[in-house]
Amino acid sequence: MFLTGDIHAKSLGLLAPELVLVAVSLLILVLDLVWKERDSSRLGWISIGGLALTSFLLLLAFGRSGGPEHETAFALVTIDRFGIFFKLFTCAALAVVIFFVMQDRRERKSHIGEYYFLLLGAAIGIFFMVGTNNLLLLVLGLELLSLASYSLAGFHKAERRSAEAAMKYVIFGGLSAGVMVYGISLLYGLTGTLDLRVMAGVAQGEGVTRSLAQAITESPGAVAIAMVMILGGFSYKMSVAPFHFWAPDVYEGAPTPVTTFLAVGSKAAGFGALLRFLAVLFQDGGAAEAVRAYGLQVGSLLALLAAVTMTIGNLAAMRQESVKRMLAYSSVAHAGYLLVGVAAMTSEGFEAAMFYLVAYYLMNLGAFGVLLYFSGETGEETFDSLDGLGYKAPLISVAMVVFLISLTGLPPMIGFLGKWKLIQAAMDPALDGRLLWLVICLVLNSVVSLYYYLRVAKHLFLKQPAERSVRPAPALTGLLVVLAVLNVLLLAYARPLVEWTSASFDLILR
Amino acid sequence: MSVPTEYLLGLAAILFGIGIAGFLTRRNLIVVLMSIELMLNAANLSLVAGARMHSTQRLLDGAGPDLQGPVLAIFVIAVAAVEAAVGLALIIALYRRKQTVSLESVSELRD
Amino acid sequence: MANLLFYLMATLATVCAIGVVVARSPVVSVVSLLGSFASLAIIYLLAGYQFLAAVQILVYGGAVMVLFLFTIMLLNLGDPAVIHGESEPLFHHSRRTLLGLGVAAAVGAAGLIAILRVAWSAMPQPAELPEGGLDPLDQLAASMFTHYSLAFEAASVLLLATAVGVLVLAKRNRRPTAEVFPRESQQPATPSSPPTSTPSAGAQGQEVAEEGVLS
Repeated sequence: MFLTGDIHAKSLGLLAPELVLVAVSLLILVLDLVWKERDSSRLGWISIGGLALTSFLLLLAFGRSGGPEHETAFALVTIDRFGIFFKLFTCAALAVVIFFVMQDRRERKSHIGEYYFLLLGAAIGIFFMVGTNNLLLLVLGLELLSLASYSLAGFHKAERRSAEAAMKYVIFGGLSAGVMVYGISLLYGLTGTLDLRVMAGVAQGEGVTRSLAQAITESPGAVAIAMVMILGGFSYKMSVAPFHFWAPDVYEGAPTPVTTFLAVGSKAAGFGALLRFLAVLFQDGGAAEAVRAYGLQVGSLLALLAAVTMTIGNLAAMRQESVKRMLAYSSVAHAGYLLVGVAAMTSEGFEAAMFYLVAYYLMNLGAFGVLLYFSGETGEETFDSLDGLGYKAPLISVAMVVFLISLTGLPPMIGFLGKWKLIQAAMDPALDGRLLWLVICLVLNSVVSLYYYLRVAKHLFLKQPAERSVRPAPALTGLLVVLAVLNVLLLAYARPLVEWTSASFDLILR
Repeated sequence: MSVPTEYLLGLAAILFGIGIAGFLTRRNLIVVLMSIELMLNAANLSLVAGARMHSTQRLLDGAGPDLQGPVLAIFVIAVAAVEAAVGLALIIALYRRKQTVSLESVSELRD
Repeated sequence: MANLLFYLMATLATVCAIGVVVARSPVVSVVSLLGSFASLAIIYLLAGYQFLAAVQILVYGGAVMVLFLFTIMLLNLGDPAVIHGESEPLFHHSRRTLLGLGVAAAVGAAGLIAILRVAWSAMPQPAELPEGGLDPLDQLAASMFTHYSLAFEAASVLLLATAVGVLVLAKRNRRPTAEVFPRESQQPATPSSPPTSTPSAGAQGQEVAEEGVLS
């Protein structure tokens, strides 16, 4: 297939958000060299401005899309609402992360242009990752995200933990890349195509010698190995067991804004790519019966992974003395909760996972923001360092309590609704209660998580008021209060949000 | 060469297994990175085997050879080079601090 | 004849791969790795992938190998005794080694079994190669710059991000603090000197040389 100039121009128009991101990231790199200044806030605001422009273009594209047929840019990037949802999510998460960088009192602001450039580069990787039905671009996007994340995790390489965290990240990242590419090569060998829609048999494509349905019936063993390996690659990005080893160390060692990005942006990207992979391959109405049945088996495997992941995450989080490490394990546990919706392998389940991601965004960004503030003040991240600070910084501390309750999944916060929707999806009558055990596991885990989340509140408020004074941070406080209010408000006015996530899931014909 | 495709895939599986073994058993970070390179190479060989098979089918049908496999293989080579570059840069950064390239130096983060 | 060469190269690739994993000295590992890559390139050539074989040699033999060797030489790791962690017996942790070998064997065996059972036997086996191999350069280029042009651009962004990332990671800090280089004896900073003392001219020269190659 040869593309003509007209089609190229049209494709470029469809890719406007990506192009804006690339342009802004290059601009940052050049301006950093030209200005040569220590004060970094101008570069930060330019990055946020670029993200705002990108989001605006994405919203326009969201309005245009929604029909049954999706447009394709350069034959690789599919412009559908699902992809736009995750791209918007990334922009929103990254804007807050860049704001965190600007507010980070432990950041020495050297090489700050590279910092923003790498963050934007990671976003470009995510855009390719969640926007494509082609495994080739998926691999490239994933690698771009990984590469930028490695460098970001090691950004404070002068600190022991940062360099070691990055090294660990690179090693496990390389392993997962190898495993995933090997799995993809097997899948390609079996079907003769790298395009997921062609593979599933819902689109025509050249080069197919065998459909996935045929491959499943003829050589189930090879398909199973390919699937397990590809899921392993996704698990790494989502920090799902058994590929979660890196997460606590990397989250702890990386600079806090980067940790925030890894926990929210990178994880969401992994889930976005996984949801697309599963939905396109196994769920489409046009897919053969054997393929759908196979999808249910994949779902059972994911259910097992979900249970293991959330249990490991929660049990380990209880034993931590560092708040940052606790939040890292808690983020592993949340990956397990998110997988509950995926394991249901229904549209409702996928939508529930997407909704939970929005809730996760609101509560986790907030929690990491509070950690950023307190660790900037005390220079430590332990529970003990928080003793009595609730009286010195009441607004931020109250916001923290809101985030923690939301993370636990108790009303009246949005985290409650997120978990509720996951449970609802897992208890779908169509599943015949097959996932009942997983729901019980989820509820038990949430109860366990209450213990370590409330421990933070205990240290903040129930200890002797601290001797030390803390400097106010009006801008950060303002953002955190807004996030906390959203946590409460969006439970009361959840309907538009729920409808928006449902409308965003347009991967398959129903 | 009229070697069956299975043999190519088998060689890829063996190389991949050796790569995993090196990754799991060695503690020298440079050797660990080399093991990752081995794994990516095995994946590439597997891609080539698949592409060769599909191309043969397509040539029998009168179409041109299948190019998805080779194109992905070229990009995977780029990815492998990039992984090695970042990994080695970090090894240098770590070595400056600790004078060692042992995996144990990284494991310190564990509780 | 071609078949014989394939079996020879397959054996060589496997032996070299094992050499990478078991060699005591990293330099031997690197040379083994190069052998493995080169044998794979010949296998690609035999299978009809000429351009891929060239890329394999150019990128791996030319770039990646040099990168590995350069790091080993820069850090003076050629002698195993120098390396802190490798002066003990090769496979030190017996439990971990067993686990690792077990997992590796399981993965390899699972792959082999899956592949050698019916998996691909229904597919046609290759006969004569067409003129120009299975990746004729004109078609490959056309495909790369039309159908996959976006992937090509994505790879360029990937390389740029890597260049910046590597620069950030490998660059020596301009103002090393006492906390940053606690053990480096050649550092001019004495305990009494302020932590923000600038490095000597010699150290700066070395630093520039390192950065020049790494970036």
